[in-house]
Amino acid sequence: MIFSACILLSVLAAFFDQPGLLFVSCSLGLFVLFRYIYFFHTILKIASSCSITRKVEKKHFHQGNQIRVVLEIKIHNPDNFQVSYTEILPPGWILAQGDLEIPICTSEEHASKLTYWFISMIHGIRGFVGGDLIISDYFFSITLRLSGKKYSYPEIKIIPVPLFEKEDKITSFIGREIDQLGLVHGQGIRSFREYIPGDEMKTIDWKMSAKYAKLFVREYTSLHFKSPLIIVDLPDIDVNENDDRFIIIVRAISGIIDKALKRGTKLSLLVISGPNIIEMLIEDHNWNNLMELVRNKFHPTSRLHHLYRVKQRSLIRKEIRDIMDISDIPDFEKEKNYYKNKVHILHKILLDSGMTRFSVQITRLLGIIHPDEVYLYSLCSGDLSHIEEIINQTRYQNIKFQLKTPLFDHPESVAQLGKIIQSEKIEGVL
Amino acid sequence: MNFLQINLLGMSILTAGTLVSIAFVLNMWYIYSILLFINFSLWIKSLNNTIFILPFFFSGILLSFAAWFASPWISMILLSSSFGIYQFNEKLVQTFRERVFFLIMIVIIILTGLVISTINRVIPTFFLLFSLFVIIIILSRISEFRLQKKYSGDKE
Repeated sequence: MIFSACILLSVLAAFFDQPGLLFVSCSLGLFVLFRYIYFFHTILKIASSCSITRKVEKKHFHQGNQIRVVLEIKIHNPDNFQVSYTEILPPGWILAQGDLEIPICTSEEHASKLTYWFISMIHGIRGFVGGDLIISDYFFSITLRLSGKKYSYPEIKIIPVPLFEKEDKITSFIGREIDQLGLVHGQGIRSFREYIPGDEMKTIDWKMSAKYAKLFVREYTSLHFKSPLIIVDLPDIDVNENDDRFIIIVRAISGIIDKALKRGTKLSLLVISGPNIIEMLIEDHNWNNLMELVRNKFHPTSRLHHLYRVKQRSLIRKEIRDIMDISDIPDFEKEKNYYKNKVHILHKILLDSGMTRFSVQITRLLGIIHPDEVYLYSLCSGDLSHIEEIINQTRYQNIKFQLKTPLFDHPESVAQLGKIIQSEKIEGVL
Repeated sequence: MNFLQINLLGMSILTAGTLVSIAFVLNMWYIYSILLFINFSLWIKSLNNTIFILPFFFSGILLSFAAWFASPWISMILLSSSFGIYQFNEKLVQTFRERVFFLIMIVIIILTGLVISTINRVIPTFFLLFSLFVIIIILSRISEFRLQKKYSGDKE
């Protein structure tokens, strides 16, 4: 605006031959020039005072895994200047969570913190590429690309993982291939690593070794021989007394028992109704026992206990973590006492209440059997808090979970299930 | 009124005022009173609403141009005070460094005014100052480019 006024006045001065106009236009030009010199002088100071540190959990990561980065940036920032920093991810890295832009606070004592998660799609040793420091004052703005060696630490080693390999393969006679190292290895490749003297020659992947001019070795999945745990959630008699859909579940379970016994494999069956454990059979292969259980117990029952009144411990812990994260921000100084008291109360609840009986029993059971997979057959109507608890326990113990429900096609029940399910599979029962 | 409208108003006052001043160049005495009235009313308005500071700044420039016909010194004083009020109002002169820069700027503005009033011819002075500005802009672009290069790691 001022610069355009300067040009306008200088043109008028030349046109009308007025030295007074030339004087005012020159003064405006000088004003803009001096502001620019001051701006440039200040950005030199800001840029030289800028220090960036990045903290990464580990130095080695598997390709495709989420990596958490905490970036701290310290800058000496004069009051009239707005400074923000935008982190740039190198090609092949995808932002998974968080934000890459951060406004930098003016005080020198507090470093500005930026936390984000990214996924690397490419393997190899890679460093960060830095970011853009955007400095602006009342008149000017400049974007400085901070991508020198000083700003690209630390280097991360991304270990290759075969992307197109199936996660698990079921080989009915031998066992199940899982993504862990084991003595008996299967057919699937779980990752690649550099050759260490002593590795078998036949495990060397020659194609990848030729590509990177280094010897790479294939790591195979291992074979496990464990039966799955089948949980049947009986419907509440008060809600679903004559529900035909439960008959579909009973028929499906009978079919599974028949198939498993014909194959000669053992079955673990747990019958629950909400958070009430009704009956349990561990690694049984007696057809009579299993079918008797189906005949006698597979009916809607009355639920004595419900879990929906009890807040989950994991949720309480998450709330505490969230408060801790917020309380670090200087803007929340005033509410500090409130948050302090809240954390104190939540800690007390965690100490006093303990785990629910149902949670303890499920944890123990999963600990004893330690199945590869858990299948839960349920109508998924009404309260789902017990299903959420089972899912949480399987997540903690890294066990695959599959929910099977005849209400799979109903949009309402799917929306309800979406709240408790993350990456677990849901399938229909036919 | 939004910021753009206010700025347009300021620019139109500046342009119209300049043309009117030139039209009455031989008999300026009553133009001063009109310009002073506009200038002071905009200043008073800007005390309550800071958005009026830019029109005030432009009317100050106009007043300084009109004052040039009376005496270049009055023009310099009016222009310096307009710059001062504008910068203080926008909180652009707060640190010690900013004050030093402001004082140097005022001194250079006065020196430029003296040069222009001494030469008293527009076209040669215009070309001289224009070439100086071009050189300074080129130098500033070069230093900005060097700064970019320094931090982007090419020089390291």
